[in-house]
Amino acid sequence: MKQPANGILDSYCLNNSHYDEVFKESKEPKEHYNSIVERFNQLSLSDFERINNEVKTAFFNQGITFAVYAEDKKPDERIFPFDLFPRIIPSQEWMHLEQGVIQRNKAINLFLDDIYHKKLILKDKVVPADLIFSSKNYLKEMVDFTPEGGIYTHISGTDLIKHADGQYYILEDNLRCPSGVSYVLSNRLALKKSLFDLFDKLKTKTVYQYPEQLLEILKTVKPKNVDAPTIVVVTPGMYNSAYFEHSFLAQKMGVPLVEGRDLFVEKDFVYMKTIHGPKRVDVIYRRVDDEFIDPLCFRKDSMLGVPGLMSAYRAGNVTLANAPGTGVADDKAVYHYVPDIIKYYLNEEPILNNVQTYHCEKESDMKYVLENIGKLVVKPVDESGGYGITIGTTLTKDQIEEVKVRIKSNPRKYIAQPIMSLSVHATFIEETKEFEPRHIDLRTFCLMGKDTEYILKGGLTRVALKRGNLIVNSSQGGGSKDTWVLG
Amino acid sequence: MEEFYLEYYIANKYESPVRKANFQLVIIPDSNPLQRVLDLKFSCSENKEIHLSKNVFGFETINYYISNPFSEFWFKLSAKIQKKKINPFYVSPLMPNDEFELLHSLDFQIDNHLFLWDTQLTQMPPVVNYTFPVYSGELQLFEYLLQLNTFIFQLLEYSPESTDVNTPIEEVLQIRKGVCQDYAHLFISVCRKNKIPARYVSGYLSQGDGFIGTGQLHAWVEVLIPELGWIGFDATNNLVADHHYIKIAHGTDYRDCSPIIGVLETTGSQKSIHSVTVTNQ
Repeated sequence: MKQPANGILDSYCLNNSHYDEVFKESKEPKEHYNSIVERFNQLSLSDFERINNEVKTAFFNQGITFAVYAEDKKPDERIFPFDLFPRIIPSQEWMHLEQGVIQRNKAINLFLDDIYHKKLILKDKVVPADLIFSSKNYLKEMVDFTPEGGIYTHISGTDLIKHADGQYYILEDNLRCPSGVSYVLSNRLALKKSLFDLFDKLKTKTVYQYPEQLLEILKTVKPKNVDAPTIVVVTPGMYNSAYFEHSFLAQKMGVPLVEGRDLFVEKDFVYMKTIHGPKRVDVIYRRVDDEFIDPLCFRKDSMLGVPGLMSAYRAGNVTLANAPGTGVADDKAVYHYVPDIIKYYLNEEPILNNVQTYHCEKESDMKYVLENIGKLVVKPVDESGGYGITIGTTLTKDQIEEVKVRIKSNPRKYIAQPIMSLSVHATFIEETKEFEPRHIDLRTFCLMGKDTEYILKGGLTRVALKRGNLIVNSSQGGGSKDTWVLG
Repeated sequence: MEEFYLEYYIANKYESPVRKANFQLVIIPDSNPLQRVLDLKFSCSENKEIHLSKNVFGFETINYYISNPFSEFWFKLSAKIQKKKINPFYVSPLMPNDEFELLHSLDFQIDNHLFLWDTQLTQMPPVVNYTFPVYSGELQLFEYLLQLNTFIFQLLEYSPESTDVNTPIEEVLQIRKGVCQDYAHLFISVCRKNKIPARYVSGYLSQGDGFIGTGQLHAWVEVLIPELGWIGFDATNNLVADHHYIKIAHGTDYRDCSPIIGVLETTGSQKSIHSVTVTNQ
């Protein structure tokens, strides 16, 4: 295609070792990126920087910030870095993603219902019983209890990456009230102002119904015998890193934002203190972790919870979203079983891939792992936080031998995965004033209520701003992009 | 049938006034095929209607939410209980090997998982200097449990205030002293190591002088013996539970059966006294 001379994207350097979302190998933009590349190339660098600065100011004024924690320091409030170049997902590609994410979350919800009731998947030896019962996230308080409508994961955030082969892979499931959706909506608001004409032209799907849909979903799981439920958002407070999101969602849904201390439980009912006296609360979208929600039941030292909340919940007088005890299904060890979980409950093949995993306890897998350590990431199954992980390409010959010895001494303890390469996307880098390829991932948001589900048509595309960095978390210097799903 | 009268009393005094409090008490005797509650009375420093709810294991708990300042909280429960007399000697209709096989079947373990997987308080340390009896299916399970009961009774010395409710087994084994919770947790831990479902029981004991457990709440263990059901073992007294054991509740460990838990908004310390009397006149 014909491009004006000196377009701001002309200097973009393709890196052929990664999958580029925007450009073909010939450096021509992919079809769904044509109009945005054309549009950007019409701008001079100074025009682009001006728009960029306007957007930043808008973020600052809206107070869209997050806190970074370091020991012995006050939390550092930062603006969430935002990149003007949107990530675009064509309609066909999105349909596939959407079906895959819904399928996965439906299966996980059935899995939670099963492991807290009949436990058939454990008896059929599809998932090892010990893996579940020894998990600290498996809560006895949930055993034989059925949450309203049988829904455990009202809100889930499924993280995906696109590998060098152009395929999407599931990176992880987030089932404990995942955050990020407020950035999706704010990003859209910021970008739509500067690129509104392209929106219409490309028939981009809207993301604005999310708060309304969330409210609807919460209403579907109201306790029995309640007509018009009182719904609240419970936040740990203004020092929480996601406090902006808690207040944003409460405001957009038009429901009160409260802290644990604003609520109390009497005779197994939950009440909110108001200037007109106590008001009964029926549905709680809680952004406080399981172990802190009720000091009578879980951590006694929790100042964030409501004493007696679990008793009210178990009496069926209040609904918690998400249900307590969902964390058992998003742990690293369970991730590997999700494809089997999908087949077991839905009798369907998984639509989206898990990252291929080799279990060293299986003889054939072990053989493969020992022969290919240089190409694999080896992880101990029972450690978290990245401890004990070795990445094949970074190992010396001696280190490879060491890892082999370690695996052979305790095969059950190790799994291995191919080294996944995240796709890259053109991103404006302020230091060089140029667009450069940067790694991205995608968090999708899926809502599930009684006989209904909703998936946000879009998501949070996180981008690793440091060159070569694979970590996209905001606390690690990551930023985000608006994500356009085409109609 | 035998009838018992029991009284439980607790009083907490606070150095500075409590602004707000939630109390949860697990002290009401259970109703089950072996015991009936004939009469139950409560009185409390708070002149409030009492609210009962059921805990995770289905036992009745007494709940108070107090939002007006107070500096003292007391509660008294009195009850009349009818106990069925039992001869605490059991013979399983199953052969020892069949009992063993059943206990080791995956379905059985999954159905009883809450009482087979360790909690923090029933965790055995990685290195132990004692060789606990091992259940191998040679003896009937009941016989094995009698041996274990005696072993733990002889291993530990009963010593009030040597431990508290959070003392881990590791420490109990080092000092070889403990109170009824410690005997119970250790018994449970050995059972679970041997894949035998075991649960913590709290209750009242009426044994007269010379037995430990009178004058306060007591703790023992119930074990699931196939075909026989949950049978109580009291390692503190080297006994099998009979009609003198009045059960309140069971759970995975002490924390499921704490007689009183309070979440308070206050500063400063508190003094607590409690007493238990059980008589059979």
